[in-house]
Amino acid sequence: MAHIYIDLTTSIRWRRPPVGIVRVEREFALHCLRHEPGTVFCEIDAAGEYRAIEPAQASLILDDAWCRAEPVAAIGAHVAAATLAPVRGRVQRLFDWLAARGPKLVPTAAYPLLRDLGRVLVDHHAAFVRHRAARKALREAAAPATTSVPQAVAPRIEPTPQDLFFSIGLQWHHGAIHAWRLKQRTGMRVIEACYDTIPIDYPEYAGSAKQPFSEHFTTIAHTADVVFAISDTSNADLAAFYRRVGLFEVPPIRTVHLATPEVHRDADVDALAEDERAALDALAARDYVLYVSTFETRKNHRVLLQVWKELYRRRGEACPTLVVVGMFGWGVNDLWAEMQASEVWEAGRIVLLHHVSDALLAHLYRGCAFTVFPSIYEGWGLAATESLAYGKLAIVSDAPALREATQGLCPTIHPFDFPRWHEAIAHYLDDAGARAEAEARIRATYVPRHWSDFAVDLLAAARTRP
Amino acid sequence: MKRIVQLTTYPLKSPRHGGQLRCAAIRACYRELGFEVATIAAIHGTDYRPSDLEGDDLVLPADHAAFDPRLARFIDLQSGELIAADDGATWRAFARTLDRLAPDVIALEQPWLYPAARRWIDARIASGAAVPRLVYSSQNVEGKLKRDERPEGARDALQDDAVARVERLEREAVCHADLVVACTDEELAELRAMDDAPQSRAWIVAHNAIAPFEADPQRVADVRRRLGLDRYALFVGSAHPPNADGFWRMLAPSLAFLRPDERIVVVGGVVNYLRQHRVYRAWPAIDEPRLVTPGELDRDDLVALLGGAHVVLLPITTGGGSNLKTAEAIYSGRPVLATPHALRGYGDAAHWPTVTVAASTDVYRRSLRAMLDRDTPPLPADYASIREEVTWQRSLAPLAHAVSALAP
Repeated sequence: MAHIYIDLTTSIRWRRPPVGIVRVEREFALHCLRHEPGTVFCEIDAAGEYRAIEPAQASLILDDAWCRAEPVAAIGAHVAAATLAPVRGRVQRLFDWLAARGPKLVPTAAYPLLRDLGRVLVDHHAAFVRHRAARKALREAAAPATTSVPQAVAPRIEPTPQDLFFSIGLQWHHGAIHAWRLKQRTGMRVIEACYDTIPIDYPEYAGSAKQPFSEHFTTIAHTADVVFAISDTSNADLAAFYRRVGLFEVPPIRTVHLATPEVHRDADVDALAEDERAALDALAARDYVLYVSTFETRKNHRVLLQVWKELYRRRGEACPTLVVVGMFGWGVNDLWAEMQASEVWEAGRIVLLHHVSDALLAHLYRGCAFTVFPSIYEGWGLAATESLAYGKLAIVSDAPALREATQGLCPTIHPFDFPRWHEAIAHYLDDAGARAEAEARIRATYVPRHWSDFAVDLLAAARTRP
Repeated sequence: MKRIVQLTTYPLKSPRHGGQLRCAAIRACYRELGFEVATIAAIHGTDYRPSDLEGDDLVLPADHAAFDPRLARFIDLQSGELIAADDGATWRAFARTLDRLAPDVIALEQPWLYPAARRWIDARIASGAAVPRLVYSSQNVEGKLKRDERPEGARDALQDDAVARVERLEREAVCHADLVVACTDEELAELRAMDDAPQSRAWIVAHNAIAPFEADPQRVADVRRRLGLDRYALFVGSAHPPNADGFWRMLAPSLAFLRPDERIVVVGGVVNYLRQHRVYRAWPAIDEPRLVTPGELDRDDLVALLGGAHVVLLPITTGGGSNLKTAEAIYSGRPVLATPHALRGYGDAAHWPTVTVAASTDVYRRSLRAMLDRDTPPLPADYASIREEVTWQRSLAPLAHAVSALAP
């Protein structure tokens, strides 16, 4: 019988609330853990070998607690100082201190550089701390099982040519070449993923990731028996990339739409942690609009900042709040500075929330007026589908994958069309009837997809031979 | 015994590039015939190391006022003109050397030093001394090459004038020679077309070739291990931009079609040009891991790489003459993937059992993929004699005969 092998390296190393790709790997692994007996989980070691993980360890890694390492952090002109004091690491505190005294200690012109340097160091330090915590947790999880036997290196996996090997996480970080080598040795059937080709097609929104991604997708073209794409858009984009670089033979690319994130409709406020309740309470005073997305240039928070500036100018105290949920990403230093200097920020009408748990997110969805998703380009748009699953209207950009993900149920606007964004947001803020009508249509029409649907479809795509 | 003086613009002591290898092989051929051969290489500044120079070589100061820095592509042309026009130490050194060597034959390798040779010959005629016979030998049609290589956007009057001077010089050298030697039939016809009286001189073709070599299996294994090679194609090229152009023209848009364990080993100075090329710069993360660039290698390592190559690449799309690399690739007995241009001077591709010819980029890339996918086919039984055709001994036989036949 063919066995399923799943590379869990990404999930093992990810100790924050999961972003889209991490969630996909986790949900698929969880499905296989429960429904596919004999599934083998593994991790890439420092030498590039895949080593097996015990099911008990896999359960621990796939538990929600694995991804809830830090308390929620709210950043806004009012809420940050008044309601929350996020726990800060030593390195972060050092740079907080430097940031506070920077202009006095160094020339003003050098201050942005110092701030960026601080951010880089903080990120690296945080990665080190997470890695250390992950290793410790693994050791602790393994401890009961190994009390009676000598500590040994986990066995190297040895799949057969009939076995399915899923490598669908952040493989460009871990090296797709390891799966290629394993396939050369064992002949196993490999399934790789394409979430999007944005770093290649839109390098201006992806830092310096174009080249690593081009090599990654080239390697998986030589490795995979099936590449699963999360949308027809990503499917077409990957096929176009393979034509651009002149590959002769490429594996079949099969679209498997992602699931709608799990909805926690009945999440209880009392069940929230204290820091989460504080973050929620701070938003209760007025209407808010939600944008769930990493704070990075491609996600086009810029258009929302302009809209909110305009809303605040026109409405003053009646201006609603824009709540941005997500990590700090790349390429937003200028925007971040502009945002913090704006009157709408000063008035507390823009709030950024980091380290938001699924439970808190459920409350944020339930409480918002509607959601927005003005991203310039996407491979799918998990948060837009999540909004629909909560029955909330999402105003989205007209990026092809967002149209695909939202099943044509949402107003779409070109990401740079400020007047139309302003008009649509003002319209749905002011016209409760229109909002209710849109929500009714979504509830009646939107077909949510469960992670089990996704997992079953992915397994079917993997097992189908040409 | 004939005394022959070769006039070149590069030294022959340690031959590396194609021109040096050809001239050195011709010198060896003359010596085997029992001729006394000397070489005067007029060197521009520090283009070559002092240890590469021989006793009669003449170094021209790079900062000499006669060198126009705007005409960097025409250094050889300017070198010949400088010696011919000089009234000082440079001319005296050149003339004294020729006086001492008293050649029966002056063998011009390319036309560059013809003005200097002409001045010396004219002085001999004026003094009533014996005049040597003149052999004009070239591995290119230089005027055409300079015109074709003219960089984009460089079409100014100065460049045009320099090209015209090269063409004039080449015609004069041909028309005053007793024997004209070309690299290919096509180039011989082009040189002949410059001449109003072709019947008054001898014409021969001596295509480029190589000295026999044999790869040592132990060295093949060593170099593979040292460079971490499994299945690889080999590309050898000097630091000449058209070599990089040809490579990327035939392999664009990227090397993604090579598997992660397949490599192209690039030997020679071309590697820097490969990495500066716009095709490489589009996908460096794909291309770089597929390239192995050991740089300049000694001859034994190069032979070992040839001996272990799954494919030898000849993606040559421009340039004159016949290619030494083609001869080397054919002689190696390894599968060769060539452009039609790479086979200039070597006749019909069907004659060479190891050679696959691909004219277009798509066919070239697909051919490389197919050649890497299959095991190296066995050589035909008579390959040992076939490959002898690309050795200097065979290719220079007509030249040896023609020079011997020149009346004293």
